[in-house]
Amino acid sequence: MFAARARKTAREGACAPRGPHAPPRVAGCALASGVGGRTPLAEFPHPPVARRFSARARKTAPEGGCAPHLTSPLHFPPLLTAFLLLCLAATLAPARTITLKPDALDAFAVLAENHPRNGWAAQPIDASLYLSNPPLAAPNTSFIVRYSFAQLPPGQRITHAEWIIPGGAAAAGTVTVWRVIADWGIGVSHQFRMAYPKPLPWSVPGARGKSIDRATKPTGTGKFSTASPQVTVNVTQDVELWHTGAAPNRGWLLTFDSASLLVSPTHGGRSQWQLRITYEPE
Amino acid sequence: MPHGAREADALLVRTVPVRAYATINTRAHRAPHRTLKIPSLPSSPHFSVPIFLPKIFLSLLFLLLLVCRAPAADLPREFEVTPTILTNPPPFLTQIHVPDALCAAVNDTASLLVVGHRSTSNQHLAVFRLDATGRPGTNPTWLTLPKPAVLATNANYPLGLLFHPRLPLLYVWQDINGPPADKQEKNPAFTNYLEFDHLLIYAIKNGALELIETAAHGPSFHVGLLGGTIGLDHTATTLFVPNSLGGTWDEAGIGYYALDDQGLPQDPDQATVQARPKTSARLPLPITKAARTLAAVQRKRTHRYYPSGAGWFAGSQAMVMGGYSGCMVADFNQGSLRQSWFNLPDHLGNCFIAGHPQLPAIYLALQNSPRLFQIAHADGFVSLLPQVATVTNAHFLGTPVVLPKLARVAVGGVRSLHLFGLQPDGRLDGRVEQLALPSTAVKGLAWSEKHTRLYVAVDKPN
Repeated sequence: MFAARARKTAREGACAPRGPHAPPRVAGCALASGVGGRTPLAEFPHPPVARRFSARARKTAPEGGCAPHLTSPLHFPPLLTAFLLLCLAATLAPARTITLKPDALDAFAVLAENHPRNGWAAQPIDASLYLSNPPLAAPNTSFIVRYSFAQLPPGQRITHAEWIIPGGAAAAGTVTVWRVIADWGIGVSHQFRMAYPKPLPWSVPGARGKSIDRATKPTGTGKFSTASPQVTVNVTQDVELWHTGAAPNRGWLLTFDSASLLVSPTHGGRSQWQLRITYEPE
Repeated sequence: MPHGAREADALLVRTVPVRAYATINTRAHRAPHRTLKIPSLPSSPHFSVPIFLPKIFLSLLFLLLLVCRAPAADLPREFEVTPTILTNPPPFLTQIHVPDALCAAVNDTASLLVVGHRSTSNQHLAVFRLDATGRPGTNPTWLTLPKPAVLATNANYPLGLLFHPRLPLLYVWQDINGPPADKQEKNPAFTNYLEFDHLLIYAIKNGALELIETAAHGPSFHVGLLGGTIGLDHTATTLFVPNSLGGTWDEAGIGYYALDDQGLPQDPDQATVQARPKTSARLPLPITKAARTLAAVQRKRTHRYYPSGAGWFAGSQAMVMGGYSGCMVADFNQGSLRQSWFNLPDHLGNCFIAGHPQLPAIYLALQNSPRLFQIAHADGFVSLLPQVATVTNAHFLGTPVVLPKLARVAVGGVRSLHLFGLQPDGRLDGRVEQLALPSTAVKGLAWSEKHTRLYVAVDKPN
């Protein structure tokens, strides 16, 4: 991928700037090109435009491609050249979408009212046995989930993020997604937001304290049905908040209005929880 | 059918290939660290390829590393690591020559080291006296584990050893070769095994071990298993035992005994309690024969395959037990034992566990695999998602052992011992050392905090 982009950079860089359809120079071009703006690619701030113009330029360019007067960036110090190439590659990069799957989960817990100290009592088989998988959502059982965004390259702007929550075969009811405000950690459960190094309870058990434990308004909702076995929630605003650092990433709380068996958020397989994030260079 | 079986059908097991990375490789790192190829550059008279390529390549690589490198502190939850090979044993390692060792335990107060092993000569327990520095003597005392006369031709073997934290007692869990699992319980072929006592309790007297009580026999327990040990709860008033019968022939259960103030099981059946005086009249103890036999045990299903009790950790409010594809958390809810199972994401198999005595961390060694999991706990309730370390060419066996003073976890394997580094909070720090040992299966591990020694039983003397 990177090699292909670099190849394209080199090809377009050599051929694009000349011809009748060449765009006007933009501010910063001279700095980017080093000498009189002769390195052409920095002049094209938007990749599609650059590709369009380079295609036209190739049509009009003389046989053999590069003009002999073009000053090669290879005459610069290697480090500076490499930096410039990286900048150019970043500038040319189109919007991309990354899908975070269960292996990108940073933390997960079940807040079960019937098992107030246990963060993994996800599916009650009977009064004496609970399983962690698959999770059974219920009005008195909610989930708290946090993703790691380490796979997201720095210096990107989030343009869209959607969270796909697959339900089981007979899933029904509505799921509500809330951004969590309070810090939580080891020992998180219905009663405590963390139990180590010292027990700290939620303001309202189950992280239900609005504006303290969780955001005042939900991020989004979705309804499971037989026609729609998975729910997709737009979480762009939350991901953007976390990515920009405007708010710490403390994940989401999922609450339910009725009992539904869901696909495990922590397991892989054909049907997985997915967080799709589309970003582009800032 | 145990739930583990259903999960085996339902789950897709992902096999992450183990690659020979020179350093830690992570999923988070893998995406940005794509293979960097030299682009095919257009021909130009200005190019000086032989000079240009290495310089630009190195510079690009340097910049990419600057951009993409994650800080060392941000060790991802799942990572692959190639261990550092140790050519010399570390100074805290003490090798003991006990072939085919299966378990070991050390008692700092009594200065005793006990190693259990498979033996054809009826020498099952090697008891070493430790000197003031913790160095074991060369000639151990050998003990034979009892079994019924009708099973004289069947080999019995110790699976678990546990010293009482305060009392001079050693609990031993033993098993014996027997009929297949589906030919046990009420099958006529199992009749001869009904008198086999799995639980043996030894008193430490004058530096020697003396059998004082046996228990856990009858149709409530399976035989012929290769895993399962015993555990004490946080107050050391309840003894948990493995491999009792579950709901079906292939489902394991667990048993537990309430202990009296002498650390001996109380019979849940009041009628049999009358047969044993509750006072110190138990003394003097017979020298070679158990004072009494206790059969009854309280049992619970686990809804999982055998073996159960693959390592225990006592939290202040819940007990954690290793088992099939994860661990079980058992807590007493309104007086009744309630269990919840944490399933490893996407991995199946037996998990042997150990807990850190001071930090909120539990370590699960997935047997016959290169994976060690670390999961946090709070008072015994496992919490959040586990760290997953996949170690190149490792093949883990047996129960992990925590070395608190050295901030490490030791895990045995095939002809090797692995030492994992720990962070101050008990999480794995990404460092792994590997030491080759002359043992087919390195299972006999014990740690002495007092002497800062890790005892490892080996097949051949070094």
